[in-house]
Amino acid sequence: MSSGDDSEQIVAAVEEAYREDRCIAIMGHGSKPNTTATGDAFVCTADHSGILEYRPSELVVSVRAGTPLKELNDELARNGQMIAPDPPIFNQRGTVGGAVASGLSGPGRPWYGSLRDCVLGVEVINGLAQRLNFGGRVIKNVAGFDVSRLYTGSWGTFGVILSASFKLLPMPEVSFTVEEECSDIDAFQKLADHRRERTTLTGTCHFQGRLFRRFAGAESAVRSETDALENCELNDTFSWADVRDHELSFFQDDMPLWRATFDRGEFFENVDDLSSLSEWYGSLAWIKTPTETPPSVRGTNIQVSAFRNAVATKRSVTKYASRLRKAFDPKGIFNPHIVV
Amino acid sequence: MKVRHASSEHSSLRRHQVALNSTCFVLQHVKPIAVPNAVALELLRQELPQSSILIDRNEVEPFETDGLTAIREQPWVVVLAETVAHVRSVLRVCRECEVPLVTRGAGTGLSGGARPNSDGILLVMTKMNKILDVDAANCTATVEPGVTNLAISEAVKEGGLYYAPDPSSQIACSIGGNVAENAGGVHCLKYGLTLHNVIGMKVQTIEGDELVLGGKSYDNASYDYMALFVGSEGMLGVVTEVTVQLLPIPANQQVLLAAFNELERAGECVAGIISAGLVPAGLEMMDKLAIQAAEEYAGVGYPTDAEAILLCELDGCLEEVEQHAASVEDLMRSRGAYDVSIAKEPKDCERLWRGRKAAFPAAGRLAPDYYCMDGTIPRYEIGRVLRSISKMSDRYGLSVANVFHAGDGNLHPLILFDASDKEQMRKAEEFGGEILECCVLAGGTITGEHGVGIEKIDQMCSQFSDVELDQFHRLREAFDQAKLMNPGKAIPTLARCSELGGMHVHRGALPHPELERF
Ligand SMILES: Cc1cc2nc3c(=O)[nH]c(=O)nc-3n(C[C@H](O)[C@H](O)[C@H](O)COP(=O)(O)OP(=O)(O)OC[C@H]3O[C@@H](n4cnc5c(N)ncnc54)[C@H](O)[C@@H]3O)c2cc1C
Repeated sequence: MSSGDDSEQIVAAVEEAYREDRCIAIMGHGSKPNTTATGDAFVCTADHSGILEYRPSELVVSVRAGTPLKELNDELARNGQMIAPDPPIFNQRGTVGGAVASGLSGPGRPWYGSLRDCVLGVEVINGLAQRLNFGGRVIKNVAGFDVSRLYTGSWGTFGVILSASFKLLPMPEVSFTVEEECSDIDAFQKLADHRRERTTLTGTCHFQGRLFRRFAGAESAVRSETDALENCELNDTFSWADVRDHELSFFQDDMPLWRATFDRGEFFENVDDLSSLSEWYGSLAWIKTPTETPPSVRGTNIQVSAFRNAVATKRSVTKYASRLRKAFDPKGIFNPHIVV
Repeated sequence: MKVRHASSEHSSLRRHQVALNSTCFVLQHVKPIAVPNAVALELLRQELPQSSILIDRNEVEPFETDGLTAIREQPWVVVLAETVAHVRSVLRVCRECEVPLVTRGAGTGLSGGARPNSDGILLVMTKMNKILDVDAANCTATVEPGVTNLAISEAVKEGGLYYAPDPSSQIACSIGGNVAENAGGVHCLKYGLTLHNVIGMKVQTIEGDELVLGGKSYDNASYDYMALFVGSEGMLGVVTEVTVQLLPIPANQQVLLAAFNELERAGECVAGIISAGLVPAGLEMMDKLAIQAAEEYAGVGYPTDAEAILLCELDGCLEEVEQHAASVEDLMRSRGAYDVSIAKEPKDCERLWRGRKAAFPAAGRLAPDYYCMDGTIPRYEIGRVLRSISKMSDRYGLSVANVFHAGDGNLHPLILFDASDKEQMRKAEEFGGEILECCVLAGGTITGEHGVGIEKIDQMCSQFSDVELDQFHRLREAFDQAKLMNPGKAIPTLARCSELGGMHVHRGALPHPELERF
């Protein structure tokens, strides 16, 4: 596994930007869409990599930001462990820092929690070029504000993440995928029934008239649950990593791609019959549109954001968002092109 | 009107209260405001029902302290809010007249977070106790902040659901207080803390804004304000509505009880269970003193000759529980448990838990007072840190009972002492501070779930550097520029830390590391 401490150079770069009033765009591998950066300078964390501490018996890992997520996952898997929210690895690339900064979670999110749920601590450089530690390597910690989780999903606007610690989970003993033909409304209802029961369901994916469900956990339980399902077949080639990483054929084109989230229990009604793929009991949908016009989606409390080959509508910055940003970065040097 | 006494609100919890002398703590005021403000009172009277405003000494006295009874201060005015509009009025008056504000839930906090200010308003939330909505189909509930933790589970029980975080104080503590402290409980190991179970909330800021955070969807694209507000100890805003996720009540449960001859073996067994890839619903440990006290108090059949016991709960579907219980039993035996028993019937499980839940009141019988600590450490350090604590106990001449969330590495050493003896009291406080510093040195933290409040404000200087504390202050100012909310708590001023001087442990870097400290 690659390993190197590049933190002094990174701190120096931020110090210089601070002194000279210049902006910095922060990069990991540049794998995420919509992060095409503009700035006077780049800070790249890719050379700041390697595992700082990993005790499998403790189910906690601390790792430098530039570590490729894939390498980390492989190392954890060798010990039968995982970062349960399973953040995506787009284009086969992506660093741990990028995962934390974007805060995205994979197909298991409703069952395993979101990435921020398992972040235990971070080391960061703020806009004053100060190196700060928040949180730690223990499971419960309420000393001070929960800054490490605030950094999760902040898209680099609060500063450079140098390293992060995660709570891990043992990998499930077995994982089965069952597939069936199913309309979107039927899939929605079928999944709604799952919510009220304790099952080993840990993933759902519906697209092109087929529903895929993942059951994972203790073998005895998974077997008895999947045996009881009717009109389904086991599919042992379906890859949940491909759903997570947008490697499924559904994602393999250049059409504008949108990410829409819905309230629990809200049926996603696809008005123009656009092509879409939904996960998370149907609470997350990926929608492709023929043009750059955002998709029209019916329902209450829907958030649609541009994900790829599409332009986000300019979001207005709220008072508190801009104050938070200032609290970390008074001169506004980090990722000025990004609005969270 | 009648005022319910704050202390009688949770009389069954009273034994938990600490009786350290407030002179042990140098209270910190950010900005002393000389005169409680006549204009402010007039404004309050214009906007709120008279029955909501308490100002007579005998009316406000019950609110002078929270669960950390050593620290007391009579509030200038108490407001019992019944609506969001009341809360907003109070915030406006505080803002316009620059009056300090402390929000209070049920007052069960153990770190002095809800201790009022003599020149300020105490905003009490317990009357806002309505369950606003239960969405059983989607497993969520929306409630007002004064609803008690247990009341949520009670309200949704019939639908086969419950709210997972279960602090031992759950019959009394409010969900608003849980949010402010990021409260934990016995079942956090598998189901997470308050943070992991709250999906939405409404917050009123002192500037008069209402923030609507999260909701029934998963992960919206915005800053994670909820992560910031959960555990912020009432310093950033007043929580006026909370939406939580609910879980289906598990169909099957089993509780294993393992007895050990050595404390450290039990500690190693905890690490063993975690590293074997098992995630119990709860994994609790008690030492000899705690076992004996609990057994005498509750008579549940604990082995009183054991040096330590572990209680391990497994839940889920039947096959899974059976399979995991067998693995845990093997592990316990191979890690040196001399006896393991398994409870499979609900009433037997309940009996085993009853002893654990009675442990705090039971410890209260061992000495006139006890001081409950709350450090968290990596689980592989449990054995070593417990040994250190026992050495400290000899050195200070004060007994300690340990009963804690072992699976989370969250220690709760109970230091036994007699508060009427000034010397013992001083020692108890010093002992407590040394335990927390020991936790920081072991790679842990000074508080796992009880919060910093006033109690641990000095230890914050050990855990964080000046620049980190400064960052906390800037964050706070983003929501409360005048620093009127909960002044003097949770985050020490840099001046305070430098005055403290003394031993400053930071990230394990201690002056004179060659000296043995525990
Ligand atoms: C016997 C006993 C056992 C306990 N066991 C546990 C345990 O197992 N786990 C655990 O985590 N804790 C435990 N506690 C501690 C305590 O019960 C929790 O911290 C609880 O969350 C406090 O809730 P409360 O309503 O009493 O809050 P309070 O004590 O009234 O207030 C606590 C803090 O929250 C703030 N606050 C309260 N309401 C609001 C609001 N609406 N908006 C903004 N801020 C607010 C206050 O300003 C204060 O800073 C225990 C306490 C006792 C006495």
